[in-house]
Amino acid sequence: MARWVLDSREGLGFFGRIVAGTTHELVNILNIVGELAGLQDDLVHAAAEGQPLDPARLASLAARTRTQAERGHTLLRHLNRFAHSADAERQLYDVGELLESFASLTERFARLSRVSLACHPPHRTVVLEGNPFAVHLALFLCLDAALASASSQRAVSLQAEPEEGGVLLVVEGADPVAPAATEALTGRLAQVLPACPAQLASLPGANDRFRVCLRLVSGPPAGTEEKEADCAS
Amino acid sequence: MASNLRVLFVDDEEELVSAVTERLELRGVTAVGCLSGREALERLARESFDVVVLDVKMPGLGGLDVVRMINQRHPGLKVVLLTGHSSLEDAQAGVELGAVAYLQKPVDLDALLAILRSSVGEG
Repeated sequence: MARWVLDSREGLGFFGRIVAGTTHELVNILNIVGELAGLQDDLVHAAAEGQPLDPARLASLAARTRTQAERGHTLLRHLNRFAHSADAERQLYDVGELLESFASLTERFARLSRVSLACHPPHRTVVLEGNPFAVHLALFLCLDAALASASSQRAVSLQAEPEEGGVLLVVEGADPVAPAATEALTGRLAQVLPACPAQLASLPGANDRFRVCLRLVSGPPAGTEEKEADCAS
Repeated sequence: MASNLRVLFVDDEEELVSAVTERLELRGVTAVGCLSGREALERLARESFDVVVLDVKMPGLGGLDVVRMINQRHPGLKVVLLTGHSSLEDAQAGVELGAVAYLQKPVDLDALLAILRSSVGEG
């Protein structure tokens, strides 16, 4: 069941969207670094023709370039963490780090929908055993549905609240979602959540604003406990 | 080389807009930046420009929609499109709508400048 998540069209498609979106952002960053280097060249050329070099302007250029480099590093770090989430169907993962990476990698999708994305990691470190790739996918399905229902200039928030044995993930938007969209989301989540493992804790009602709660727990994918017990005996 | 060229540069990446407009200014071009299609149209309603350089893919009002609206509101205003590799088809569609050219990012500034000058009949 867990292997299905990565091998499925849904899983592969999701992987592709994240990589495509993130690499697009990285290209943008490199384009900016190129332009800043070009601007540096222009200033040197102007200085050679007698125009005074402004040290403050050069310092500002260096700071701007450094900002883009840090932006690129951060994005690559998150993409790397996301890629490793597919290493094994069952591995330890830090929920706060996962949420932070997820928010970073999906910020572009929110921005293109003109929606701001707010991320609220758990107030303490929570490490669970499960399938972090499946968790990413479950979150993405919720985010996708939230963005589809969100009006322009609105906000969607992701938050994680530690609870006994796991974490409650909440994806919340300001706008209502159509019942048909909620039903479609439920169907897609039903195939992914067992792999996390997680349960659907709540869904928005008709005309309610978007709010989906997923209860993440620690352990093997749902449905494998009996098999493991049989093997052990 | 000083120029009377007035260019409106539109892209949702603020630092890119900043760097390119600074570089154009160093080349004697009057360059103003905008971060969205909507902001660009509002600016065009208040000030005159010779050429608009426009990113094809932007949140909200995309490049092609802006080209259509420029055709309606400011006929004769030249538009040059900028595109990433994944938006080539959109850029070609923009040329069919009347944009004078498209350039793929990263922008070759000398090539952009040559297109800008030739689009307004400057040498």
